[in-house]
Amino acid sequence: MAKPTIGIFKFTSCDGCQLSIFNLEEEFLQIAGLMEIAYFQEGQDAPGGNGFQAGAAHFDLAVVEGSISTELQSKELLGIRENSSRLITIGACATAGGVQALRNWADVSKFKASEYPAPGAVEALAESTPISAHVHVDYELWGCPINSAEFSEVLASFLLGKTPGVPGYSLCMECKRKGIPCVLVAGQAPCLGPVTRAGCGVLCPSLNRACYGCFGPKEGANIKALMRIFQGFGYTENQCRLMLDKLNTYKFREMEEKG
Amino acid sequence: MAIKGTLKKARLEDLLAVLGKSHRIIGPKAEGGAVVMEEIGYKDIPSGVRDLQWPGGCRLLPGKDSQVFSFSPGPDSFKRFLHPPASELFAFKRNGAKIDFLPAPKIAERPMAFFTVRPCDLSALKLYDKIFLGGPVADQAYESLRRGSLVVALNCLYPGDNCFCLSMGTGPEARDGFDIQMTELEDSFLLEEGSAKGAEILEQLSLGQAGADEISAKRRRIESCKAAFKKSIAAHELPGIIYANLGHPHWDDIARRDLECGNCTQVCPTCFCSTSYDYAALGGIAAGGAVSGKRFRKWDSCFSRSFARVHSGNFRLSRKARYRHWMAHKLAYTQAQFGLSGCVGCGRCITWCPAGIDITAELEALRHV
Amino acid sequence: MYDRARPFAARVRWAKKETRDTSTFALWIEDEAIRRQYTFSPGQFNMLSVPGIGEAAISISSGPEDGPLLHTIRVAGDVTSAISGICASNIVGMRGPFGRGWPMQEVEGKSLIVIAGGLGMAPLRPVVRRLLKSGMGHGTDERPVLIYGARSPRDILFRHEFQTFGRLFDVHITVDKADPHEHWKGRTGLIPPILEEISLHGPGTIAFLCGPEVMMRCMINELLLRGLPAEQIFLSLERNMNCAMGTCGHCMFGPKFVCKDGPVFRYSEVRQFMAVQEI
Repeated sequence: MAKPTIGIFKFTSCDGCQLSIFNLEEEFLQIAGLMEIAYFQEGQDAPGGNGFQAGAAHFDLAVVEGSISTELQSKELLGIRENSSRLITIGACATAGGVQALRNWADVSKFKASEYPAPGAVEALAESTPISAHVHVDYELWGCPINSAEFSEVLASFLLGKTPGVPGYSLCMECKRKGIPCVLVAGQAPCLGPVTRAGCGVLCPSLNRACYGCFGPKEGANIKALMRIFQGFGYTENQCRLMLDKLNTYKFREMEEKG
Repeated sequence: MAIKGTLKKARLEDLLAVLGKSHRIIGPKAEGGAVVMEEIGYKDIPSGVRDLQWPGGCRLLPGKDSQVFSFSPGPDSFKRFLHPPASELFAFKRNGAKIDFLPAPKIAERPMAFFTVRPCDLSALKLYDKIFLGGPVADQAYESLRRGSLVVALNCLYPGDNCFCLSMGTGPEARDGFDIQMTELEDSFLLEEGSAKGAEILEQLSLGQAGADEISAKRRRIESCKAAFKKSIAAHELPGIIYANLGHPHWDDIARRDLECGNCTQVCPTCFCSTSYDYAALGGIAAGGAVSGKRFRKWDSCFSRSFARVHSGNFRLSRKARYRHWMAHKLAYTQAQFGLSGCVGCGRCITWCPAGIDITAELEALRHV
Repeated sequence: MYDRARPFAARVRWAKKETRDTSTFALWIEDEAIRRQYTFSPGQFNMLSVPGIGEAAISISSGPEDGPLLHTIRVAGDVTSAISGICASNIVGMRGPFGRGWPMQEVEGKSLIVIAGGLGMAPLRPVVRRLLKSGMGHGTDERPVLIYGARSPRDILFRHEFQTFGRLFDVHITVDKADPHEHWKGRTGLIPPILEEISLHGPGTIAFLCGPEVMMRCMINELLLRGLPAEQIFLSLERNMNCAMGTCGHCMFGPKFVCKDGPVFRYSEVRQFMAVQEI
């Protein structure tokens, strides 16, 4: 039987999630053994443009990093979706619009004017949006960057034909399993752990630092309730807003509105 | 005649030395602003450490108390060790028409001695034994860790601010379910045997005579502890009050504050819920279709959205339903399931809830609102 | 006693497509010692697994007296899809049997009414088979009743067996809807109107129900109105099963563990919880 083909694409992002794929090291070589890597610019020696042509190839699995920030990207994304059986997103940009989605709540023309000598040459859309705002996404992997082990599990699940078992519950669950004393309760630190998805392996709390939400909102996050707690600690409403307005702001705001 | 005797505080190390000959000692240690439980040695005991606990908060206080055990229970309990946060149930290999399910390797480590188990946790341990050993087939993972374990109980002489074991009927004095019980006196510990295994340990120590003075000192200290409780729960109205109020509007009010982070369930010494799942890494998948991997069991929580999810939907989709399920399981359902209370009054869920949701206050609201 | 947490191998002897999304698998326990110890009663279930994919609770659709161990599986999630792709002579993992089945001893001397909806016929098939085996000898002159509702004619499970079931049972089949091209000559519509046509003997009747919860709730109300005591109504519930041994908490329904206290419950045991949404 032919090996399934995989294409790894990127839009507006820092490439960190693709680097996390390389961080799999030996396991990365296993991907090459199990799948036909048909498109992966980051993994090529020779530089190339955005070489993917719609209709040029079929992908059993498309892995997409990055948010949609320009008109051209949204067209390219449609091409990828049309040519892929399954499409998964990796990372905060592709899944939640990324840090660049902060502009969605500001005036992008002002940024263009203040930062660039020729603002007219900048094609950025007014909003940076997650992939799911444009096409059907079969699975979303969160994180800034993604957890390599979770990516590996997602690929293994794809090969086995099952839904990945990546959890949607809070970071607190991971902290408690690891026996990390709570920085929020024992340290009164403004930790976003209770509303953030598990997955990072509790990097910050295990170093006695508050979580700042790299993995985005957990399923059913009660963001308003947590912000009330932080306000009780003395943080202003604006300070609370800034805590959420980071890598996953688009999805944190969406979840906040849901209540 | 049950063995009873006093051990000078300066000789507490002797008890750990005897326990340590045959067991790994699991006990308290101060870490990251809280008292956690780990495998410890004598020097790790946070002697004189005092703590302050309130709904949603905990702080270790500066300065030392003259007593050794002046802190209340931290987030951990025996649960972490007898029902580990993640464990392997078995390994599997599938290759074409052939499948093998291989038992998880036996843990070769020495058995554990739980040092200074509080009376609330003794009740939780009794419940755990019913859950994991009382069924038609014992849970082998639990059984292998529990067998050979030792329980050294510590009577509580100060209630924590969130403790309500007195009203729950589980503390502050140990009644059963231990091998040895300890009571801290002025300059010694009163040690009393609770089982033959405990007696064997005590026989290896040179204990002082425990007479009427020591016994009455113990009584006095426990009585003064009882008088100092700040929190209580309407245990006499349980489980009826829960069953009568499953449709109460107060659940909506809790849902507005509830973070559904699951912390309460993870620190609760009686919460036992878990999820088992098959895990196959990329390395376990061969191009020809052969698969090998393991089934793991991980702590889970009824606060996880996926907990009651089936393919066709979710039986507890709303936050309110998930909170209600947890509280009802603690205060009503466990009694029906195992004949013991699912709440032992340890107060951990109150302290370690970032939102400071207080199970005793919520029950009051159900009674009166 | 063999380990209930670790699956044993069960070989697929044969597989038969029942409907477009449902198939029956005959399984054979490979290990002889386990096979000898393995006994079950109607209404119990097994946990079937495909290693690496996961596990699903599947009720046993054959009777204890029947030869092969049958499981009738509808493709719903990953595990059932994976099992449906397995062909004869291949192996699945099995743990079980689990749970409390139908109270066959309570049928004695009463007229039985079996109400099944959709896949709910699978755990009730062993009940029907058991009674067919024992003939009319359950101490009443009344013919037992079997009411079965399916989505459409082509979703009817065990379609060729109803004639046999009709030798003993008064069989009523209905479908939610039938396309004209299906040439369905039977009944169309929901189950409740059928019940109105059947004479029930109140306290002398015992009812077994399995199907979608809305259907069961509705039928139970009807049965109660018709004078059946809550103690004589039994229903099989579906919840998220994970460990199947009452130690993981997933399947709780109020204080009940569906995996070990059920899946079959006496209605009077669960009535107070059936009235609560999202219990």
